Amino acid sequence: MTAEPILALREVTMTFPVRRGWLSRPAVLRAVAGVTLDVRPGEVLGIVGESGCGKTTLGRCIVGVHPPTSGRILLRPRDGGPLRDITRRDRALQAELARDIRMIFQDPFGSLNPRLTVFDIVAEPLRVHGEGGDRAALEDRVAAMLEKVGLRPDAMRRYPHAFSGGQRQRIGIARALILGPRIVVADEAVSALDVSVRAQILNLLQDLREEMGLTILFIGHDLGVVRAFCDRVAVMYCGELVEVAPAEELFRAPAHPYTEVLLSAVPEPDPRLRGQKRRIVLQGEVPDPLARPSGCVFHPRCPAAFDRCRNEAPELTSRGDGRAAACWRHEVVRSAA
Amino acid sequence: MMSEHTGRDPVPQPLLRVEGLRVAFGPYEAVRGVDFSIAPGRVLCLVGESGCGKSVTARAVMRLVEPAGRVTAGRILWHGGESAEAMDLAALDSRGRDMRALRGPGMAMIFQEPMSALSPVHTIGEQLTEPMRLHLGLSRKAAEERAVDLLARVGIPNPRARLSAYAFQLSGGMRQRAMIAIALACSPKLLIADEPTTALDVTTQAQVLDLLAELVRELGMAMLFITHDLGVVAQLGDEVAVMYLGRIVERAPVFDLFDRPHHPYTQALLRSVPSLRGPRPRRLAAIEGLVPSLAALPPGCVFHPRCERAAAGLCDRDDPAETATADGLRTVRCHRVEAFAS
Repeated sequence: MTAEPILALREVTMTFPVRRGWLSRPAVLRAVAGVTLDVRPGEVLGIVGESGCGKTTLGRCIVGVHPPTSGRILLRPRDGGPLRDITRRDRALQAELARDIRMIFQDPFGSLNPRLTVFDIVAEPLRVHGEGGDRAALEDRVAAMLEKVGLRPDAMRRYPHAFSGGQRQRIGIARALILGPRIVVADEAVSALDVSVRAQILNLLQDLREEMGLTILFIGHDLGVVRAFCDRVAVMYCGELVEVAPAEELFRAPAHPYTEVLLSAVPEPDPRLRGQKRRIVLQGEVPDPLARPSGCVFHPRCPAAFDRCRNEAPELTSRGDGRAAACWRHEVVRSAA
Repeated sequence: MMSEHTGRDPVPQPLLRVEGLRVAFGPYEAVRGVDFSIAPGRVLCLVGESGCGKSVTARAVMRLVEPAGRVTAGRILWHGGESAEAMDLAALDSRGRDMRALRGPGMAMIFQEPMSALSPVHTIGEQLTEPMRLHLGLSRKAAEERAVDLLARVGIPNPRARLSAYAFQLSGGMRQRAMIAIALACSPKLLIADEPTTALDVTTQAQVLDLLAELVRELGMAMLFITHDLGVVAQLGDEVAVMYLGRIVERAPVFDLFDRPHHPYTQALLRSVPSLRGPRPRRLAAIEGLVPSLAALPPGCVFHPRCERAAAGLCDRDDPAETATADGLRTVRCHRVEAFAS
């Protein structure tokens, strides 16, 4: 069951200096705080949480947009062998990794250069990596890729404005996959799409994942989509991982109080659940990331907090059944479930 | 099964009745003949995908589409006035005195993005008290007291201090609450909410939805709620109208619609929403194809190119009329509704 990880995060922390007003000293914002996580080959791992929880920053650390402030990121080489430290990347390493780890963005309108044709957009990674040969050879590869994502090859002559949101997202996927990566970070990749189109794109990703053997990190906030699409789910709050579990289990019996709160807040497409679903109303707001609470980050809002939670921060602890939670009460919650 | 709407029968007299509404932007018709009505204390959800005309419909009721767009046909009958006669808002000057007097105490609107709906240079207090002084003739002092009450009512902590806050000083959820308070300033009879929770996190969304439902119940307001999220519809709506390409394709009480959707588009939409319960689907149900452009509407039923039940020679030729069920509670716009509404 526990396959060797393809990607491993060890205590990854990403901080940003923030200046509030020109007189004050810069403060430190911990966007990602000590995340340790194994990503298994071929799985779709969902990363969920509310805005500001650090899920996007974590994705960017993995892709190499920001080098993490501390901690390590390890990648299994293509030929197997031991994990390799890819935390600090010089130009050569970043170029090499750009074949392995690619990103799909949320905004299908902002992420494609409007002045380039679809051919230029999709072929660019090939050119940058000196692949693909002459124009005719490039066109063949682009045409094949476009067909894979469900677009007609003649789309390559056109500009992004000629396409709808869903089609643009297909173009973004073609660009991400043309180098044959092993890992794809999809940051809210379907959040901007209408429901009917969203299902088309998710099904496409599912097919491509099987066909190309992809490992997908799916960053999202729509829990229904995450449940349907992901094998495992990691829940973040205030930069920390609070729970990791197989999707089925997480949604059936959440172990962390925050996960429970999140699930209880989702409006479900069934009017019969109106008023029946026990909604846990959270007190207060997400804490200011510049002034993190002592102890467990969730304790000021947690309906189940007790003394220990105020003073000691719980670690993400495995419960032995493939699930892990960072909560002093997880034993209690578990026995109640 | 007989229809069971939300157990608040009988349906009261409508506050607003829209008949045959059409709205055009230049040569393109965004709303192509829409009928619905809303009664006091009820929530009508207009649901559909982007470009279906749901927001334009809502704005047309407030007469906010001009001058870019134009109400080209139909009536917007307002029963909220003093006289027994309904007033046809479609016949009024969109910038005239009658329409301006209606916005605020008659109907008010809240938007998706509070940051662009709130003034960045006026305090929350100024934005709250201005309509009360203008429409209700309250003194500055009385308006401020009412403003504090309203902010407290929508769940803003420490409301008196917030009167002097600017929009940028509030969090997203608090801004949305402030906007709701401003919309409620003159106790409108109809609240129009255009995707008010789409930009919010789920926990904040849950709080705002609870608040809106409570306000409708307590104040007896009518609410027209625009959304693309069927989960929100299920939790909030009394009645639902599903829109596709500028038309309402199906309208029904919320339980009827979710239990037995009649229109193939409604059925497909409901299938494509992943639930948190039940077995996990291997694949999500998608609707094939794309929403056609308003500039090139398909002939016949506009949904037929994507409809899995379209019949050749019928659906691709004739535009279906709206038919009502025997009890009059549901209307559907589909040729083949008899054939498969089980």
